[in-house]
Amino acid sequence: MFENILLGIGPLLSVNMLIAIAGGVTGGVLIGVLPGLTSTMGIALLIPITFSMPPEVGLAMLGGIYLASTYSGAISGILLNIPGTPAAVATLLDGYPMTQKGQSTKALALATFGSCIGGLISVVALLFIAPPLAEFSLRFGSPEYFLLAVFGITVIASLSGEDVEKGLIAGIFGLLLSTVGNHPLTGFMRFTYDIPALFDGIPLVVSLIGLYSIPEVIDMLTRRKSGEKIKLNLDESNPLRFFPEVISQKVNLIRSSLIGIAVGIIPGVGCSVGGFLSYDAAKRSSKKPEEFGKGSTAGVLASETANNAVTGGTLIPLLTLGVPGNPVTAVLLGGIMIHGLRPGAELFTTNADIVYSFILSLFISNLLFVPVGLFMAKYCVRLIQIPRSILAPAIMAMAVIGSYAIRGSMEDVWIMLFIGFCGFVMHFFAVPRAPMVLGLVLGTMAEGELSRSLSLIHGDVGAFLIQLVTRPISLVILILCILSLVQGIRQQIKKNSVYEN
Amino acid sequence: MIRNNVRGFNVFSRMLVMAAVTSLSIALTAGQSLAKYPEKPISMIVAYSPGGGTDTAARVVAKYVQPYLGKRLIIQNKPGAGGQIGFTSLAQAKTDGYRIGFINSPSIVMVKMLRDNVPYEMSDFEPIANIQLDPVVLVVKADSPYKTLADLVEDAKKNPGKINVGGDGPQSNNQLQLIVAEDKLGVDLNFVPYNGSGPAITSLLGGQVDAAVPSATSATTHINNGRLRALGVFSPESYKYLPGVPTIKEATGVDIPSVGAASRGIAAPKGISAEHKAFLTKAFADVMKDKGFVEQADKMGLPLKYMNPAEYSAYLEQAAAEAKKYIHLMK
Amino acid sequence: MTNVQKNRIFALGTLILSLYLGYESFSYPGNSSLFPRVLVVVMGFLGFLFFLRQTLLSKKIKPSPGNDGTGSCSVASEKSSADKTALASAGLVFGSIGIYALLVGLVNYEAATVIFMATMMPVLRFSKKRWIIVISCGLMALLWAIFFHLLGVTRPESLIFG
Repeated sequence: MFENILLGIGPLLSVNMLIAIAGGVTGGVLIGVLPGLTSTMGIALLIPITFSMPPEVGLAMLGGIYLASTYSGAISGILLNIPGTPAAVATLLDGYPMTQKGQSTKALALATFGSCIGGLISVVALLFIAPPLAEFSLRFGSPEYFLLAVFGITVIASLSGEDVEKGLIAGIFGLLLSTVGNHPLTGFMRFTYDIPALFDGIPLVVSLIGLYSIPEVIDMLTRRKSGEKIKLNLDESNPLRFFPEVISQKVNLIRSSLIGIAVGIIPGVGCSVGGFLSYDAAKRSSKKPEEFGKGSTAGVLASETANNAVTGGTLIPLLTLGVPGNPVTAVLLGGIMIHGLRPGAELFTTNADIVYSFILSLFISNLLFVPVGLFMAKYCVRLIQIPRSILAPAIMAMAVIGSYAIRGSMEDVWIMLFIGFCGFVMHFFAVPRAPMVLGLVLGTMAEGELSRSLSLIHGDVGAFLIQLVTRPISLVILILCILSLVQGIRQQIKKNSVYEN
Repeated sequence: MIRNNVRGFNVFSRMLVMAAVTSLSIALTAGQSLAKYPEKPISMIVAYSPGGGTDTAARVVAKYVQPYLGKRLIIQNKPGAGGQIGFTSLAQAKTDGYRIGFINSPSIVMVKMLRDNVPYEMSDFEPIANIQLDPVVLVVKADSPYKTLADLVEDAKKNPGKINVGGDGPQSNNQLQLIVAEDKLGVDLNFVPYNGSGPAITSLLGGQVDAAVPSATSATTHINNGRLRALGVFSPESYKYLPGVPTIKEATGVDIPSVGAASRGIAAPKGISAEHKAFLTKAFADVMKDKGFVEQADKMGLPLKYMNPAEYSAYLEQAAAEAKKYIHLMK
Repeated sequence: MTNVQKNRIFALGTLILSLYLGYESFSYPGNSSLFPRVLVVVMGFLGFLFFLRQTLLSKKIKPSPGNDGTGSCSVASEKSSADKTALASAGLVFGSIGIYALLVGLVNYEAATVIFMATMMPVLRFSKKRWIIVISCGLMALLWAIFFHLLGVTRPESLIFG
């Protein structure tokens, strides 16, 4: 194996390779910053360009885009409260409050270093323990996925803020929105009102744009009109100054990375869920949980470390089994196959030079997005000082083109406006939006896997319930769900008693 | 006589004038459309998202057909509603010869049959060339007790409705193929839809289902590296990249129509001019013989299958007729 | 509006939404709508619970002697005026984006974008004319370059200038 790794270093040192990585990373950072541009889209559109490159160079470039865009969604989230990618939704819960406190550079530095460390740890996992982890991921069947979705949903209380009912209602509304479109098993159309654009459900990125950009713009205009001066302080400190603080949170970094890798190797879960779960874990184990949501450094670090740790995780089943875990890796699989490479254990022996140089290139990408991201962030920070009379219409124009571009359809602009309306209503009534995103992300999985589990067991509900307890992995997740719920309720009671006193 | 002469001259001169005009107009139109078309890039609507199987195939074709077209072929993704949005926009596209589409059968006919208010008819399309034909394969895990298709059929007859078969779905070409097979073989299997052939294969690898009916392209890698065993391919002839796998007729002795085979090809909106159609037909016929293209397709495992406009029209009509017979079982 | 009042309105809204979504989902076949049905019931129940809790809370707060009548009144009126501004801003945002989207479909993307930016900036009291033109055209060119040129997204089709 070590000879194979050494074999991978050779191609890595060529100039073309480094240019490809740098290009991929720079493009990826840009794609991630702009809401509406997703890494899936970026990679899909670049695959034809990578045709003519040697496979390892093309793959390194695609890898760079994937890693960098997963990270850089945090930049717009932290500065404008508008997540650039779904993965950044948990980051802005604390990242934006930090900006409001005049600590934008600190928040960006935390996100950057956290992403880098999470990404690096996950690539180490990919390099050394990929095959056994991949085999393990195959043992997840429909009942396990269903429970996993339920486990994700139990995090809602953690994201809820003051009134837990509001968070729960938002979460359930998100789950309900995810049921729009065809039923995953029967194909029956629900809540579509004969609009073809709704048949496949509400696209996540489109709803993310509506949910965050629109209320943010409305908020800008409102504060302007009410005469409130919104001069957010520019934070011009040197980002490198915060590196020791990042390193000091060792437990948080390691825990978040492990959560991210675990979420990554289980196909079908995705980066945003990694961020949410790790945020929740950090909050629960924190000595000062009340700081979360108000600009906690641990919160930003947890979410960002985990969502980038997911990237290495998703590549494990992809490369060893040919099983893509999320839309990005599904597209990446296409990019791999186009070069005539066939994922599987053989890939690591017959095409060892290509695979290992790809994996090693991921180390470089993970390191490279730090300077690129910090450099870009240095200028992006000034965004918050642009007069609102320019920034607000510019964000609106971006929201329109961004939601149009996902599927090339103007109908999606109207869907974005509808979700924007929901977002405004929620913002108006001080309802947290993160639970709704979580619901939207996990809803299809929860519904689909539940009905699939039932179909697999021929509709026998009793047998299904027995299965949940008798399948070992499902039992473990079930226990985790119960623990999470019990602890959540306990904390709620504690919080209420604080209010009473 | 004089009158006759005059008349004769008249007829003659008229013929002459007509001949002149026709030849001139032919020369003119030839000069205008054959030399000039295409003046600008042609766009091709793909009814699925960037990065998917259909999109990747379309982009490979687009790259290699460029020299034959003389202009770029630009992919326009119009995904959504299982292809309905893209197919509709192709059906309603301008017929100026600069808009063509990549269509998938039987999806295009199934969408029409399964849903109400689908705003296109099959007669809205002008088939140009079929590019690839991707049959459905029946696979089991390598350590499955089903060594042959006969084993599976026998077990299915003993335990009707108990064998779980995963596949892309619901309402997919894979499901249609399985339904037809069940009907012809007289068995009852439990079809479990997954979100694509990939996830169906994953669940088969993990032993969550007993068998799966993925598309051949998505299963080939796993079959060739020994993790899955193919029991039969739903196709009249054996599949190029799986030479050892029997066709469904060889495996069962029953003739099962391969309605589920996914064909991908080029079509234009009905009403494009004959010259444009001829030009496009030639360009796509040429690219199918292009050495670079065939090599690239081999590398990617794309099962190429060329059909000229007449063959392709006939194929689409037949696919529609076959699908119609079984579609009621899917509603 | 006070927070409690707002919460009660939100809870009522949730209840109404649950009723409507419940009506819809119970009209679909059972095997295809089990999940939304359960969710709607839970959402309605939570809305009801929240309404109850907030009503009890409002009763608890009112008689409390520590609440200085005049002070809370001015705070409340300040809050409600902020709410009104928020609603007005929302109207402006939804209206303008709606018109912009219609313009894109009607005229063409480039013109609509420039018109939208050049109208919205003065509406938001940005008055340097030359900058308005520069910024509108500049942003349009930037978006055009990123989306249509670099990423190869197809331009939206429009009725008049395609």
